[in-house]
Amino acid sequence: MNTSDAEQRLDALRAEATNPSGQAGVDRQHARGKLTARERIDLLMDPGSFVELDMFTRHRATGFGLEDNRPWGDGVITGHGTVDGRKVFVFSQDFTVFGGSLGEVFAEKICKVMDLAVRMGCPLIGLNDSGGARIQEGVVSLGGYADIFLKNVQASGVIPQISVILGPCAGGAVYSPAITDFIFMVKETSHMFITGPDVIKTVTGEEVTMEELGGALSHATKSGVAHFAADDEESCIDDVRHLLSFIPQNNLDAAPYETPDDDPDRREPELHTIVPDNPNKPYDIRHVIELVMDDGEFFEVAPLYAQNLVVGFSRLNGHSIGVVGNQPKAMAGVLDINASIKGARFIRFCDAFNIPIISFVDVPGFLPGTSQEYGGIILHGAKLLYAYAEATVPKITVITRKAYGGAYDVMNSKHLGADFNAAWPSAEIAVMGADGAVNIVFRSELKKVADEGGDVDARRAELVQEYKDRFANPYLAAERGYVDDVIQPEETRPWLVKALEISLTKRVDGPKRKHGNIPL
Amino acid sequence: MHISPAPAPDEAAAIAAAVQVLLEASRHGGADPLPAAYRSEWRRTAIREGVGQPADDRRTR
Repeated sequence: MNTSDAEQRLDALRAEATNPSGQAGVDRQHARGKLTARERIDLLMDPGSFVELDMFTRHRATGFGLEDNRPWGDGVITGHGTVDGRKVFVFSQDFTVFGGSLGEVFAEKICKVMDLAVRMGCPLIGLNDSGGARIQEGVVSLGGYADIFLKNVQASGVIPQISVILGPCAGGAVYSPAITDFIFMVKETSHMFITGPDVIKTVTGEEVTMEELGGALSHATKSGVAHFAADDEESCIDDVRHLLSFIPQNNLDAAPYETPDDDPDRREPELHTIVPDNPNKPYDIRHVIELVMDDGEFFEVAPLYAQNLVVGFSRLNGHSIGVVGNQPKAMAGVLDINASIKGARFIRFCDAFNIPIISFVDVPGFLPGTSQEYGGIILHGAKLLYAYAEATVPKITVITRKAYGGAYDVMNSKHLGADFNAAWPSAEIAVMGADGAVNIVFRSELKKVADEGGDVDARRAELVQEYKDRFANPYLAAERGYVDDVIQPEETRPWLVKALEISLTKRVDGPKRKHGNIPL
Repeated sequence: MHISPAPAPDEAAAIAAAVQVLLEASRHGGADPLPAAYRSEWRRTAIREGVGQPADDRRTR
């Protein structure tokens, strides 16, 4: 074969490898309402930046007719490229080849880009669309899954790992995305579950559809497995690109910085009226966050799950930050099991990747009830506390209204190592709300008034007011330095900017240990 | 500085002003938009310590 023939052969092989299932396969994929693996990569990456690896790998399996069907690439496209100029590694499972099923070589390709991503310190993005294990390859494919799981764990906290579910992802396959930092799903076309509707019906008799069981909305609202649920693949991949703009390349990089347009000294008068005078009236903490942060930008994570705690990314004077806020609009901002888990995981991500955490506190306490106690609120609430206490990134808190009881401690209090804490004048930092406190502390006195035929309600009102005047304010905490300052609401942005700027060189060197034992 | 063909006086003044702005910007670190904290050895050390690497480990990714 002369040089010209060899080059022509390469061109032919490339053409075959880039379209292993032919136009019919592409059409079938489109008919399912899905893009092809390559179209997804094109959407994700900067134009022309993608460099493919292992285009010419093929499986080595025999039996069940596999030896006669050895498509180039083995059903997964891997490589690297850039997103907004930043280097990332990617794998994109090709459902048109063996239904995207994972065999030995398929797994080897994924492991290879995972190794490269860790070695180069780049985020890894997995575009998942797979029917599961390649049954014909037997235990080898199971081994392939476990190889990926191990690398997911080893890469956790070293590079950001993002899973995008764009088709089925079932059985053991779900555990790779589960270990990664963020899961994106698309409504109607992506599904995740351990066992599907048919098995469930056989075993438990329950009847449930694929979408109800493992669709994007189920996982975004009920299980909390999915952090983002998009209407279509294009907007889903857009969200992935946006997320990347907030997070660093790896755990040794500082969080991204964007030259800000917003005035760091901007005072926002609307904050002055945002907290209702009635302490039991709700307001939207997201509105507070948007008024304070650069250009009102707030990229909320898991917006549909545990809505009583808001978490997400934002920028403050150009610095990427993680924001955690109790949401008075949902369950009065009370902390429960789901909110604790959601907050803890987000905080640990921020801490692993050097992203400062800013918390807005308006919390009436932990949710009471047998379902919470039997569900383990003690352990799950401790996760949130543990995550805050363990984090060594800059930690800054603003108490806007209620900070009651144990929830005050948990929500990035000074006692857990927060660097700077401020309270608005409307803040109430106390063991509990005035009504509850009066009923407990003055039970005997109120009983006496009742026994003597006095006006119990009037006396209770007096005591509540007395309690409020004495305890339901930020000044007792300020006296002790538990809050560093009491600030006017409109001063929040300049105060936070200065607190953040001075905290950027924070250095904490704790005792060496293998790892802590977070109450999982 | 010699520019050929010679600029008109107002063009020369504009060029001189632009050069002046450029020199000032580079003298004050304006060419690098990152805040000083991002160049801080203290901060880099903090990040290394956070992952259990020796504080004097100068390896970078």
